[in-house]
Amino acid sequence: MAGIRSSNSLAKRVLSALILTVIVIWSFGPIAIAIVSSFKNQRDIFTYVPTVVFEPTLGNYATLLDEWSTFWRAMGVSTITTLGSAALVVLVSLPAAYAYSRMARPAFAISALFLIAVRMFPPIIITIPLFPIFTGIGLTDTPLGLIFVYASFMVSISVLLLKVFIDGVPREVDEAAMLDGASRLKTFVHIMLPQIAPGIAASIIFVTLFAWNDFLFSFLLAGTKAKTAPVMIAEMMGAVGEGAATWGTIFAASVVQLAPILLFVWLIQKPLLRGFQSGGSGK
Amino acid sequence: MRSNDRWTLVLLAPVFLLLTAIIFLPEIWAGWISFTNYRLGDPSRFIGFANFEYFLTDPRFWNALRVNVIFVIAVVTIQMVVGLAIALFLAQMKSPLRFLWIAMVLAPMAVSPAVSSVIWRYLFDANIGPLNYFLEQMGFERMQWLTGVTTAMISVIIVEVWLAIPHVVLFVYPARITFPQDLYEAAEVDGATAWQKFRYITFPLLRPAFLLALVFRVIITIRAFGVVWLLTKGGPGRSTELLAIYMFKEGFENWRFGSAAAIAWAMLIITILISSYMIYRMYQNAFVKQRKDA
Repeated sequence: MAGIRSSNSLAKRVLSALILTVIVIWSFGPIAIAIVSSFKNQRDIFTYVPTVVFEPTLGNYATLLDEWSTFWRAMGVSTITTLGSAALVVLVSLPAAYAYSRMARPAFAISALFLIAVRMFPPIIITIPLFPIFTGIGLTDTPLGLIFVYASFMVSISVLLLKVFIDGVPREVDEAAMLDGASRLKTFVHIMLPQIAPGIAASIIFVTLFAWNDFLFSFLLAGTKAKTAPVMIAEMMGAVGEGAATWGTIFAASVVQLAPILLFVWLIQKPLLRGFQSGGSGK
Repeated sequence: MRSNDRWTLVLLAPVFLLLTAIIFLPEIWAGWISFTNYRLGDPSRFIGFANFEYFLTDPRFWNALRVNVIFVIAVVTIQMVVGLAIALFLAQMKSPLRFLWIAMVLAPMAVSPAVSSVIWRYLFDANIGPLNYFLEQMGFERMQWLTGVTTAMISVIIVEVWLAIPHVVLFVYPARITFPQDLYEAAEVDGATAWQKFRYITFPLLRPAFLLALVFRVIITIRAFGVVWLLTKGGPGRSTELLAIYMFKEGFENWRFGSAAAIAWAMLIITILISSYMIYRMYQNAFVKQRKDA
């Protein structure tokens, strides 16, 4: 009996390890291939039989540095638009979330229906009217235009998220502070903000994932001067056919674009798994 | 009370100003131009329902709708089933390395459409791609992944599923780990099989989170654009031309903004219909339920 049991559990463990291997290869394999290939020279990438053992080279990154200043410019634009939209989202959604949680009569809550409905808007449909409008007022091809668009699509989730966090702070806490003579603003900054910091972090996370990785809006509304890294990478991809870019350089560019946001996702993995997203995540 | 309301308005104003300027007003204007022959730079004229008639009688629209329906059904079904399986597998792991494996599983959610198209274009490449190499090693024939009519559809479905699975895991996993362990222990004492435990304990408890994820993933998948555009541009032929790609081509390749706006409105109405239940639930959760509790 005991023998059967242990061989049974051994079989189970082997099966479990096998399943895990498949899951990990499926999820991370493609990313690992991109990272590894970015350290291969062109000859090793182009062999039909995949080269497992190869001499790693930083050549692709050197080429990216030397010949693709446009890519680094695009990385700069990506950074500005991402930080800008995160700041704008927090700035406008904090007061709204506070109002919904602490001040608004039920009549005002109806307006939140619009906020939630906006969450459901397919972003692409807004490009049709936005393109002529942005062209008319000179917002096309500027980081500012992108910041407005990214923020618009993320404020609704951010307001709802922050409201939940503010709801979690007991009213007695701010009432006590106000009785002591602190103003509403002071109470908010000194008492509330520290307590809802995780909510603010969560909002920033969603905006960052969305803005940093967006292709659609940057492609359509900011194709040249305010080109972001994803659009630049797509362009480099197109240049491969004409021989103007190599796979190695593109892999290097992809890793540069991916690495910060991947580390970011890994850093916030624990709170993500606690499940505060419930319908939130960016895409 | 009065002054309180005034402050409420002031605090809500920035959000609604932003949304009005960037989303609501442009979308209403799009509603107007869908009734005109608007082209960039040209004066436009009211033409009634001609744009709607145009796309509703355009075989390309019906093709795009068909492609979209197949795409949504395939992508959502596969990602939900596989995502659920992966989440449950990870939740029952006791290894201290669990968080490392979860990190691997979540990684695709950090990958942009642009970078994933780079990676998968390479993997799918007919000549140098690793996928064809492994197919050949296993005794199959090489495939023209992105250039064959059926295979292109399969390829874009694979990539979309790859990007989506972490999101499903993030819905299911947090719900699963809150289930009381003693339920499972009791079931084991009663001699329940693994399937029975899933069927009678896990799934019923998981249903709310699973349904929420399902609706959400349908809404997100209907609007798919970036990855498919980057991988196939809707081709070969029109075999992967989703609604969003069809609309995009109407607007930004044929420069027919009037009919593109009409298609955009059609997409908006479809999405709002499908998501109305979701909107209602999220509203209830955030505003009504908690008022009752108080």
